[in-house]
Amino acid sequence: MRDALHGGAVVDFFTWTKAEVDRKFFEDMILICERTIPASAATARANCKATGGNFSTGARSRFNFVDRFGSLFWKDRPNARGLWAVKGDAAAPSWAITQSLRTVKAAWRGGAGQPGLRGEFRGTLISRDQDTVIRGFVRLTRDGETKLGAMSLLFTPGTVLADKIVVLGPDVRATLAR
Amino acid sequence: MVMLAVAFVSAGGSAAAQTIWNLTGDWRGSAGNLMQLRQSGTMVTWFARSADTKEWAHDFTGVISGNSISGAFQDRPGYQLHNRGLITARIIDDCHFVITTVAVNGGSPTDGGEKFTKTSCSAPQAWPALPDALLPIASVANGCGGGEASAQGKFGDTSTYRDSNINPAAKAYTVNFREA
Repeated sequence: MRDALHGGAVVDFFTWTKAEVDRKFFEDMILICERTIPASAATARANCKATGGNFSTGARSRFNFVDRFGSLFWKDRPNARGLWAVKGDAAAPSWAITQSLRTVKAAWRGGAGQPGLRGEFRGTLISRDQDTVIRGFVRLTRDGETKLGAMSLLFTPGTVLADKIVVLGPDVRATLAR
Repeated sequence: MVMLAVAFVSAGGSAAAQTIWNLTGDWRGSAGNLMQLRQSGTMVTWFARSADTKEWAHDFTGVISGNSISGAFQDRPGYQLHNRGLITARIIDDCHFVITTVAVNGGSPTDGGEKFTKTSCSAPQAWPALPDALLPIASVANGCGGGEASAQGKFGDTSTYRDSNINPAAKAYTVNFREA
């Protein structure tokens, strides 16, 4: 993401730990307090940085909350690497997925009804608060013909749906399971 | 010299104008059979051979009419089969055609079905650049609240601070923590 608080610098949190994310959250809130409340309003600024005084919650209060309870919401970094079976098609060979940070690649072959099918996917992993989407392109080869198109993999790590990937692409609709 | 060039272009243009198709090239069938096809105007010739390169090989001469090819083939010696006959095909586009009927040795036409694809059309396309992972924060974060990522303000985004801990009427400052 582009960090608006820090002049639009590009920051990728993908490899950060929860503690590192929480620390940046706290430091950024302190910065916002200093930028929003003038130094002359010392009590208001101090309350903003700390626990909010008698009438509100401050940066420290928010930090304490995520520090103590954030693990309930924290999602492990998405890791799609591995072999994924095609749900509902026991004859179909598994998809092989590799991942290097945000770059995800997949390769698969058609099932019993599509012996000549070969699929290849390359995409970028984008983690959102509610889920993870891997946007990219698919190359399908069938009977010597190749087609290229856009394709997405929907992934929900850190939830009860962690072991499922929904595939949405041209001529490709599948649900994968570990 | 100039006149010769003009005459050549004129003759070539006249022949090419008779059909919209451009079929010349190497082709591969859905059954794996291979074909080298040459087109000149509406005239088509090809040399085709079986996928195993042993069962058969033939030469074909035919013409294009509309989106159809029709003509005669003759198997070459030196292979397992020695037939002659008629073939018709339906052109789909410059990259694809389907054999529709085959009549062998004077017999009745039988259904073809093999689909041929020009090799140059099936060459793998280059991968496009991957989508950028750098996105507006509103597209990935939900701020100080639950639910899906959005730019909408959430209940916990803002707080108001009085410049006094004992006077509730002291000057208030509202702070938006969304960017954190």
